[in-house]
Amino acid sequence: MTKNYTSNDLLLYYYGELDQALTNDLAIELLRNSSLQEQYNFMVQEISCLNTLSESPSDSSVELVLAYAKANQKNGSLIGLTHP
Amino acid sequence: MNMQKISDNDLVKLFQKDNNAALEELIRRHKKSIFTAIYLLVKNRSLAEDIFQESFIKIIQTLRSGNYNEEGKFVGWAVRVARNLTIDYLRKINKDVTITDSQGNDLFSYLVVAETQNKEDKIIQYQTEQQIKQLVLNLPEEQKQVVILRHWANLSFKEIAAQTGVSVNTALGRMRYALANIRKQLSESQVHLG
Repeated sequence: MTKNYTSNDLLLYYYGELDQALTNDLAIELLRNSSLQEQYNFMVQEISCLNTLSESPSDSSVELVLAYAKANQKNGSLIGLTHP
Repeated sequence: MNMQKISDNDLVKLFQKDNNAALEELIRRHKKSIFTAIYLLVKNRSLAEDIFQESFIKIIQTLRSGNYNEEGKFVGWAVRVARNLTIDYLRKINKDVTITDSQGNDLFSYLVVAETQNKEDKIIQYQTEQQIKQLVLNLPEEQKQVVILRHWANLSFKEIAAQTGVSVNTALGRMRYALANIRKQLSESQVHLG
């Protein structure tokens, strides 16, 4: 008997968190159930918009962290940091 | 040694043996996820830069002290460190950090991109990104937390549930509500997805 998949199952499927047997079963179900497929595509679109958000720290922040790591290694003690 | 082919866990081990190139690679791989997670919590770029630096200092200290015993994902743990520092900071100042107008940085990045691509398309893309950013920033706290932990920190819903003290179904429900909220508001603003 086919399982009735919920929105939660679709989320788990998208993020690869369903167990293997259910993953295989849902993949087949998505191929033959157009309504479920539509629901899934809808959800993928929603999640995809999150990918447009990506903030990056400044280069100076990264350099400060690396400088700290090097100084900490050399001296075995902490150094003070000043922000750029 | 080609660092790009080494797993996060092995990079951690290399760094613990004083290989700083391994730390550099870990930062290169995950700086955007970690910084985005911090930024979405504090809503302030300058403060996010400070917390990003402090988080990595704590990460470095923990790794070097040998107290790192995470068997799971480095990035999930790193975001957790950053999140805890952020919460500590917000508690310390005892007030919400207001959304500041970060026109300086954002406008600059927009102008740089606009030089190389179609201006009109880039304006639309930029406006959409700003709108989505604002929508995520304005999500109810518990929904925003799940979105950040799942999408940027790459924690599983099970891990999120354990970390936030709710059931897996509640964590999943919050994610669904967050996505529905974003879609609804984008649709009201006549921004189309996909």
